[in-house]
Amino acid sequence: MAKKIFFLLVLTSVVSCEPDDICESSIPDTPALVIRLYDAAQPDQLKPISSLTATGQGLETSLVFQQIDSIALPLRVTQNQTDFTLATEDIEDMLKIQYTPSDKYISRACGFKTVFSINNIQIEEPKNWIQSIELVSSEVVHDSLAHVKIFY
Amino acid sequence: MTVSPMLRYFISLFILSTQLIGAQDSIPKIERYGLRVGVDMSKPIRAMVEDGYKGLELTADYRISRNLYVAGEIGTEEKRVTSEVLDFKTSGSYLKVGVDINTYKNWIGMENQILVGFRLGLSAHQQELLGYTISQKNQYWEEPLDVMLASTQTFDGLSGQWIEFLLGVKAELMRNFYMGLSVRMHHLLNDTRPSNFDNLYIPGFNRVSDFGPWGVGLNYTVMYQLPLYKKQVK
Repeated sequence: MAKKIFFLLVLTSVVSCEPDDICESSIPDTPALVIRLYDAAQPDQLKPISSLTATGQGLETSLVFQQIDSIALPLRVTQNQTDFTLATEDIEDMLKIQYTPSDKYISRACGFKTVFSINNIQIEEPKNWIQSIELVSSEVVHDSLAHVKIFY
Repeated sequence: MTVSPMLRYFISLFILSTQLIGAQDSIPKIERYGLRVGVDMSKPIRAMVEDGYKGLELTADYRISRNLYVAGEIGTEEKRVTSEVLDFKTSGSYLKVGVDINTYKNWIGMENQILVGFRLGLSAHQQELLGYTISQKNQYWEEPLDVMLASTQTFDGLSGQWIEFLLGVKAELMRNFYMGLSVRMHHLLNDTRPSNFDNLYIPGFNRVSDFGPWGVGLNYTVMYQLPLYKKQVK
């Protein structure tokens, strides 16, 4: 009996394929800034936008959102400011976000993620299609809840 | 009838063995008691084959009764782990104390053991974080996500406590020289963790899993026995 347990133990120590080496995609990583779109005339009503194009400052590619009242914008992890041009029907507004990034440990397999503490968020004047912006949560730690409200 | 020399040899061996077994009750059985000290040879072997590993472990046991030994290990380890997302180094020392119970009934004049035992393990260690990768699924900004820390982040004054269950063998190869092998299951009880990092490796405990308190270990020892006194088995 003791011998059987012994060999079992040797076997388990040899088998070294560890499940905690794989970073599951369900594990939350670096959160994005979540913006919800509201009706400026009725500030407690969400207002889906037919088409919104977000283009990062200095980038060619854009993030395109359609028929949606909630958008998620990735923030730059190596900088403390991220700027996006938000365009709908060829009308543009510039969104500027200033923040303090900090890196948080996740796990052996996933490494670290960056979380953000927003210091300032604003739409550059003059505002075109956006009427106002409101910061709901300055700590961007999860991307499951909204951080910013935009009224238009 | 001619008896081949081979057959004669086996017959004599058979007679000898029956005599020995028959004699077991009458000859007093003397066993040695002493302190065994040794070194874990698996550590230098591991240092040769495994990148970023250094270690030394000294072992000792003291026989307190026929089948009971007080046993322990003291050691030091250094391990650098470089994965796709992390680069860190663990270093420190550890102490393990416990008992071994011999479950093997020896023949006269032999002193080998099949052991079951347990240990309480304690470590004092530090973690050095050298670099990491930021996990970001939406790589819209195409930024470099590998962070090499300009100055290593050192977390010292860390500790771990665990228990080990072991199964092992110790065989006397030459008079007073023993070779031992044990496999161990480790169960982490408690550890002081670095802030914003973790004890992914603990000296003496080995690799710490993200999913549970269990770990595994092995040692392969060469020991010398300092015989202190002899005792007759009743």
